[in-house]
Amino acid sequence: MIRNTRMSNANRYKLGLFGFNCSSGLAMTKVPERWDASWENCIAAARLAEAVGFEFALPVARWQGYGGETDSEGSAFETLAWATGILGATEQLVAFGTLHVPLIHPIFAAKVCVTADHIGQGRFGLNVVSGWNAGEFEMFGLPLREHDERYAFTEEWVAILKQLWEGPTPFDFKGRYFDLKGVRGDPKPWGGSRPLLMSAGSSKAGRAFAVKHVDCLFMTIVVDFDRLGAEVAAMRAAAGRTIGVYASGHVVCRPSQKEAQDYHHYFVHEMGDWAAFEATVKGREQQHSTPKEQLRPLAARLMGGLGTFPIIGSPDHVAGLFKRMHDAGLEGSAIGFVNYLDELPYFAAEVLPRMARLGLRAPAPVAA
Amino acid sequence: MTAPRRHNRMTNANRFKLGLFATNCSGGLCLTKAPERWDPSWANNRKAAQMADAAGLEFLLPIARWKGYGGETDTEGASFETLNWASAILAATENIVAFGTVHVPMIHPIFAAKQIVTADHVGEGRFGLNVVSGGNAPEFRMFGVELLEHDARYVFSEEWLQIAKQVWESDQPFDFKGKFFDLKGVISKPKPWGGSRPLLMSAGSSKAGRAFASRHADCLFMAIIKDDNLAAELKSLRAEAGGRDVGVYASGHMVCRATQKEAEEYYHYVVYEMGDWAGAEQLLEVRVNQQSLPVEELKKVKERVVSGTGTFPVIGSADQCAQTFKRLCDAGLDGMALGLVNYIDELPFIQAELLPRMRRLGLRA
Repeated sequence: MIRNTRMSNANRYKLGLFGFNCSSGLAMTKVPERWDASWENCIAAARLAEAVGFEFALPVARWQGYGGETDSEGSAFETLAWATGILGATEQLVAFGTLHVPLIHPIFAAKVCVTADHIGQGRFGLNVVSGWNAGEFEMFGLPLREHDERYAFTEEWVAILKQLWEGPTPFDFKGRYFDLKGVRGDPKPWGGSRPLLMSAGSSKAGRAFAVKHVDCLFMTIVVDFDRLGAEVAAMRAAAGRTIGVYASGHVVCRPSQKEAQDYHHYFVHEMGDWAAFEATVKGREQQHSTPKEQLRPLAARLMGGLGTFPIIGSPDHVAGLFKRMHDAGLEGSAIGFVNYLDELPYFAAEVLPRMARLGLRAPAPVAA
Repeated sequence: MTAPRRHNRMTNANRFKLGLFATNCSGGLCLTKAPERWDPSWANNRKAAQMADAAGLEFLLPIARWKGYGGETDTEGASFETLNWASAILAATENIVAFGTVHVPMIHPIFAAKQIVTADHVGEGRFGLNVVSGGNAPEFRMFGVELLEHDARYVFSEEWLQIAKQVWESDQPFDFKGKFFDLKGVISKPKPWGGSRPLLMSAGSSKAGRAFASRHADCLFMAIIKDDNLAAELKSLRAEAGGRDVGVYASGHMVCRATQKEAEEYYHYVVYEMGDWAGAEQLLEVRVNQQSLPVEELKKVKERVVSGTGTFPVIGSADQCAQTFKRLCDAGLDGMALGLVNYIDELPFIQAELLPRMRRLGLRA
């Protein structure tokens, strides 16, 4: 059953705020205005995003930062407790929690999600993550599974979660990783449906898992828009059912193209935290989720927005990029800013009306 | 280095502190079929919390329950997970302290430590953690997690808590190698709110449980089976803590009405006319192997299981309830977490009639 939230509203291109539970958000920069992820700022950004009509808030589950001088994302709120607090403080915004599934028992997670879901009256969604950064894994002292096997584990984990939510219960579960007896849990998720499930794998195994099990897939745009269209179409065909396909991005929007590019140059090249960049490259190489040879040429993209797609320019240019993503088959973007609170008002005032004129969004917030 | 004690309502000057217990669970603490039994919807939870906050109560203590007690009502069968519950309760209140309750074998200490810090920032330092080492066997079987032999549980909890505390306090990555955990380069930010750490509570009644609590917890929760020897019991508990300043609290349930007769009649209705005695049987069965509560003693007072899952009963007029708290306070108890049949219905009377009497007895401002 599809839930009636902003994620199912009529807007053809949906927008979410990405990564604001983490210090520095998505950027590795020393600029003084970099994001301070205090709870006060988190609430203010969520309420602002809600007021201008954004559909969702997507946190990043981080257990360690990227080191360097700023330790980007080193200070981060746990995303489920964060989403619960955000949902308690908002009315319509959908908030996701992000779970590295090997780090939490599915029965524990199921009840946590249900709690958030009731507090948000059905506005909670879960982003299911199978892999992680090697350093974070060592910190938890958990066995690192071979890449494809991670998805076998996640399959069991999600099967348990879904059955707890949707029944029948009580049930026993005996798999390769879990041996559970008499599993039950109440209450069920809000309103007789279940939270949206999302996943964001970019590997083959990751995408295979996503097309089989989740409601929306988050992809990284690496290539040009023509190839993007084919990629999105292939994913939808593989799913053989309705699946939302989204991408992540980082936005610098200023009155002119030059101003936007100048600011991007300033925070990335002049004030970038290059020591953090080196640490990240090392981490991702170990993780194998992004091919090694792709990393270095993408330095600016990593520094500017953790490898997400750069959306840099004037309001016309930014709105035009969203139009191209939409035309390639994407349904929306989760976006980061260097400073969410400073930059969102301008984005809302200039980009959102242009997106409305392009037919991507209604001019005013759309409830459901 | 140990983080300094923090100041919130749990450290106010009130001599006998009060909290609401188990609003996150269906039925709260009461195994009854009475139609007004507690519905723990989020709307009700938030309302009860805001009322308790406005009335000046010190804290809210949830129960981490993964399965109910069966019978006719499956009391506590529907419940919210307590860390996330506390996070949102704290977002919706101003001054009251909210605890989260964690069965430590069910969640990784690093994961829990970050969830706790999140709730603590949301509440600007009003979060507290209740650390639970054991639990009900059917819940552990459901998790496929081994329920360790009783005393070994506390060895596990020692490691778990040591890791969580170090996560909160250490600015540098640390390694940890114990019997149960082998962790490398552990670091986590942000730190708890305001340069101190959340209050720690523990509720073991066994010898090992009390020893753990007296070493680590800022407040101990005890079950009072009989109160004739309470003063001596409290004295020895405090002695075990060896001069550490620990608060000692107990769990209870209350029926407070205008007259003793009204209170007793309502109690009779809830327990004898509408009680879920099959649920009480099942609760006792589950707890037989738990070793943390004296089941034989509880069986003798089975009605107490029905009226409040075995917690201490406070039944009577507002004067009598206030006097009971005075007696407990004089014996050395610092406060009580209370279950009510219906928290929202009963709080206004408590605020209007009981709290002023406690004030006059010098128990509360």
